[in-house]
Amino acid sequence: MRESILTPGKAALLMLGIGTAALMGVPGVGTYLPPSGALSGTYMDEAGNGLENATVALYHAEDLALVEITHTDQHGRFAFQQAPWSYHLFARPAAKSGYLGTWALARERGPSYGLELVAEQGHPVEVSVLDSQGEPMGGVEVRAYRTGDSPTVLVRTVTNKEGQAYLLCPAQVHLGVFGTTRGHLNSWLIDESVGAERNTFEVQLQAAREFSGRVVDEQGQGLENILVSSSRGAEEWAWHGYARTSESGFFTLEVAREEARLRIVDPDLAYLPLETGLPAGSSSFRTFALTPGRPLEIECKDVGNAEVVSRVWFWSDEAGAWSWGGRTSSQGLLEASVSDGFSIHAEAVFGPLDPTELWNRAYDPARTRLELTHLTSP
Amino acid sequence: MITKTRHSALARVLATSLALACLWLGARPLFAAPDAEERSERRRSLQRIQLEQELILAERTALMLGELEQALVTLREESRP
Repeated sequence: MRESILTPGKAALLMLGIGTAALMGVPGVGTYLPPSGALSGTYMDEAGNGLENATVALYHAEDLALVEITHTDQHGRFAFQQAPWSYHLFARPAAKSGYLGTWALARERGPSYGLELVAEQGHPVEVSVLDSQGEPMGGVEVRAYRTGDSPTVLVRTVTNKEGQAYLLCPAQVHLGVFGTTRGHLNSWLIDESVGAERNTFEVQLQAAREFSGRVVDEQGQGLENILVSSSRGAEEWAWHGYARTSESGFFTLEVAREEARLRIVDPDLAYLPLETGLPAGSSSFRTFALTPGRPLEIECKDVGNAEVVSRVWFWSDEAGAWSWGGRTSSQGLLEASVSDGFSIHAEAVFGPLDPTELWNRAYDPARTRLELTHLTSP
Repeated sequence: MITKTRHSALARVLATSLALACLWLGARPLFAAPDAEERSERRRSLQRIQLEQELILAERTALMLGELEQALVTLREESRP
């Protein structure tokens, strides 16, 4: 008679093995193995509960390229196999969870501690978009923005055939409606407060005219990466968006059919800003020459003489305009340029520090470095 | 005679001082008011510009969201039988 392979002893051992393996997957009972990788973390709600089946995306900080996508497990844990030195993360909760997506910007790979991302409850918002004739506009992009130290777009969606878009928003939100792809101006609802009940907004977009131009230096050479933004009126201000100049200095922008205003600024602060009006019916192409400024180095400190990271704007008396807001280095330093008559406004990026201002200064070539001191807010 | 001259000189000094004081008091708001108004107008325009700048800075996250959407669509299409 042939002896059975599975003796009672072996069967008991097998059962023990299967039971242990099963218990390993139960947290608090067996050994739960979280996903592992070069970069790992947890996505949770405000009460600390892990959010299951959320999508988490990892991007290179410099070129914004998408590196890897993963999903959270049943405990909200996630892991990426790659870890760029400097990166951005975006976590999007599962559909119908009621939570907003979460950004973690400009992070650096550090010691192998776990990242913690917290999702915030969203509020339902319905946006109805009409064209200049009052007809519903489908296919229009609607975005929810959060501004502040790290401005972000939290949601992007598109209106349906009835011109309606549904999205979740934080309690305080800016909504952007992008009509330019449909021959209309972009429109913004600024600082809207939304509550737990469904919030509805109606936006009627205005017909736009296309305007092109070229930004050049004093020698007529095209300037690259200059920001050109379009708005309407100072009394009833409305912003319509922006364009960046190409390598040869060209740009195209949708502007208001009535009088529009263009604001042209150099994000590198080498050239002075320029603001100009575009009357209704004016030419659809213009060249704008920017003037280089006079070099000035700014050093931002607090009262204890410690360096402060600040965003600094320069007013040009000659141009009658504010510059782009440059950001100081971690040493509180910023190289900029100013006009002969200038003013400065600086705001600390972190901490309870008051803004600091210098008004109506005359440029002194013998004094090309200025110290700005932020007082501590009471 | 001397007293009369002294009186008229004193009167002239007083009149001149009064005129200068009035001129200074009258002219002061003309110089001070536009400066304060101008600063507050510049601060208002700066607030708009700061908001514009933040919306422009947020654009990179819009691009990243767009790329994620595209990648998820591709993944869904690839996983279809």
